[in-house]
Amino acid sequence: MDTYNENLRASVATLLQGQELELKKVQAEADASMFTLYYAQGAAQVANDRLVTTKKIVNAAAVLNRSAVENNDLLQTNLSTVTMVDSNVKQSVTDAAVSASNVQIAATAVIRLASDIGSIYNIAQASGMDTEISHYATEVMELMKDTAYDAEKASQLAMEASVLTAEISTASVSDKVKTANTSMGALLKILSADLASAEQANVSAQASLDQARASAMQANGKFTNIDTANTAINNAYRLLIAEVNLALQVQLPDNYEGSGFNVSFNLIKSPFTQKNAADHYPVKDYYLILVKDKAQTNFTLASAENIIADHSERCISLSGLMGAAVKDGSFSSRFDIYGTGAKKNEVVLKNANGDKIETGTDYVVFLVAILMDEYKKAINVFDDFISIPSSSFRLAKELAIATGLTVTKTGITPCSIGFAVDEHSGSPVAYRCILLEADDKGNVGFYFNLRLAEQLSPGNYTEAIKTKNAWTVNIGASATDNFGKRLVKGTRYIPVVISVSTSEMENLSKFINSWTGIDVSHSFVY
Amino acid sequence: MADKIRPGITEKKKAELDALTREILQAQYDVEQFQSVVTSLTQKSIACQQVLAYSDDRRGQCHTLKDLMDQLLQTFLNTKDGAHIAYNETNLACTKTKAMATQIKLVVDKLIYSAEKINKLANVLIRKKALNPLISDDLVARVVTAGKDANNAVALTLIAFKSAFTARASIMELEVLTGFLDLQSSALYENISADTTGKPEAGKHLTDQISHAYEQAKLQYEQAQHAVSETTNQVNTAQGLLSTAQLKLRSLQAALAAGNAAALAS
Repeated sequence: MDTYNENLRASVATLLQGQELELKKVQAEADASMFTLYYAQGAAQVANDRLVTTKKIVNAAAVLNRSAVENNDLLQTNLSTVTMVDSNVKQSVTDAAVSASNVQIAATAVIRLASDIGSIYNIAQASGMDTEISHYATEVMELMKDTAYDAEKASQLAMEASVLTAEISTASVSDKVKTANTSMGALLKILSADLASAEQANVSAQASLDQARASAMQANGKFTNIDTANTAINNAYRLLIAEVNLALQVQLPDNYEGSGFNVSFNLIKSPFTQKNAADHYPVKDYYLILVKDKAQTNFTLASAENIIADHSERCISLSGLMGAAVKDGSFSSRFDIYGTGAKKNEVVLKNANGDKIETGTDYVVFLVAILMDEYKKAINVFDDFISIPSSSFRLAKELAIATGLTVTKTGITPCSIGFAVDEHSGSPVAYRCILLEADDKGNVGFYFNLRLAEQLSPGNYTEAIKTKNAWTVNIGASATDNFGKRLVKGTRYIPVVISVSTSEMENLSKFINSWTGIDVSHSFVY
Repeated sequence: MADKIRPGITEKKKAELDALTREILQAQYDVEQFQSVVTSLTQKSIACQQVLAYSDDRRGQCHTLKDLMDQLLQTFLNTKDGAHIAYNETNLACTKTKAMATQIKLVVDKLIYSAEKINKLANVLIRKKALNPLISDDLVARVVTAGKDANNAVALTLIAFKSAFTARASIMELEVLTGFLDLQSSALYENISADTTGKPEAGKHLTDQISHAYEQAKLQYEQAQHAVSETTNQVNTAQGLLSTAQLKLRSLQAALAAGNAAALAS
């Protein structure tokens, strides 16, 4: 390459490197702030859960307390009644005893009078009194017999009343009421202490929640900012590539099995328009060369020219594609690493070293253009063109996604989740079931994606077990949601299943984990 | 031939040592993975233990409450029964006292009437004695005594009458009070004891509420126990896997050390 072009290429490379570093930095920051956001939202959820629990405890304690206070009010009335009864019983016993004694005395006096009258009647009869005296004596005698009998009867009744009154036993009732009062006091003391501590816990739970929510809000703000910055820098980078590196880009299909990739770039144009120029002037032939990411700095135009001249199987000639793949001055085509026909299961695409392209390895693509001789002559420079390498890319196989999630409530474990999966990536896979708490409408109130799901600690998901041809997840008593909160009865959860490769460390990069995504239709109430 | 074999053996040795190194890297990776699983599950297990400890406390508290409540309920029942008995006793005494008071009133009335007649008899006798001195002096003396005794009897009967009605007032008041106590004790017992009509968990009765709280606490404790035993099993399983991985790593490391030593020695 001549000095001018070398200088240009060096400047462009520096520019792109700088942008790429910036992009990586911002992406790392975005990642970090995504995790910060996730954990902050988790903390807020945990705090909210705690508040819900403390509120429930407060309510329960308040109900008990209110009940106890009501009963205690009744008991206090009883206590004052029983105190009055106590003193009235004493009074009644005294009064009954006094009345019995007085009635007894009165009865004695009446009987004595009756006996007086008896003697008078006898004397009057014996001495043959005149009829008037005898008549009166007889009459009084009859009256007093009757009165004395009634007085005796009154005396008997008074004694009985006194005995019955003395038998009234309220002392034990009064003791019981006093005992009840003491017990009730103890009960109330416990219940009101419970209520006070529950209220205290509730207040501090509210404070924690406020703080956790504030942190989550801040984290959300920061994440949004960085995400915006990330998008902006991405756009700037793409624009820069478009302007200085022919918009050379490698794209991986959204849903692929690690078998191919797409390359696009803008065709080289002469800075000055040429009359009657041949097709694709000033380029005679385009080539793509795949180089391991690690080896890209050692790859030069000389290496490329050497490959094109002597090892045509290590590069891709685009000559045959220029018709169909070119549109509006841009090239875009998909490349399969496998052969066709008999070689359809064999990797045929090779890198600059002559090794077959493999999954799990990072590569870059160089675009090489062999310039037309007339152009070379015109500018008197006989070097061909080599691009700055594309961003690195990696072919990997995406693991199959679990399908047909069904939740069953069983007797043994609180519930189990079954699903099917058709795995053929060749990787051993673990299926992790994560439960996300959702509101009644099935909205998940926090940020969650596959990247976060992959990082969950083993305590916060349940691994599926294979039974015959189906997979089952047993949600046991210790199961938690993604944030590690214990499951709450009556709460809606959305199960998500992530497929995680458990292959050997050196092969891990060959596979891409996948997940079911957050699908409300799978949600269930625990 | 000999020249070709030597480099072959060295290559083979190196390849074996490289393979061992790769295996060690894998084993280290496995150990790290299992270690992180063990750490995470251990934390979860600790959290479950804390929940268990809390549920145990709560269960204990509720049990204390329930015991206290049972005692209280028994006391309330005894109060209710006692108050009822006291009311019945008072009722009996009251009835008797009322009868007694009525009887005294009757005696008072009859006595006063009789006393008037005795007075009349005395007057007639004194009038006749003036006309006929032969009428017995003894009879006259007895009639005078009877007049005095009648006065005395009336006075004493009036005292008895007053105290009888005082006793009647007392016992009637007591009857009202014990009746009130009986009703109240009954109501208090009904209010606090278990609801036999509706659902106990929705009950307004303190006994039901406390029983319900206790049942809930027991259930939570059982759930916490399940969670603890589940996580303990999980930790043990993970610990077992970790131990196996650690063992494998150590044996690979030993093998590599021995291999290196042998390679250097040769």
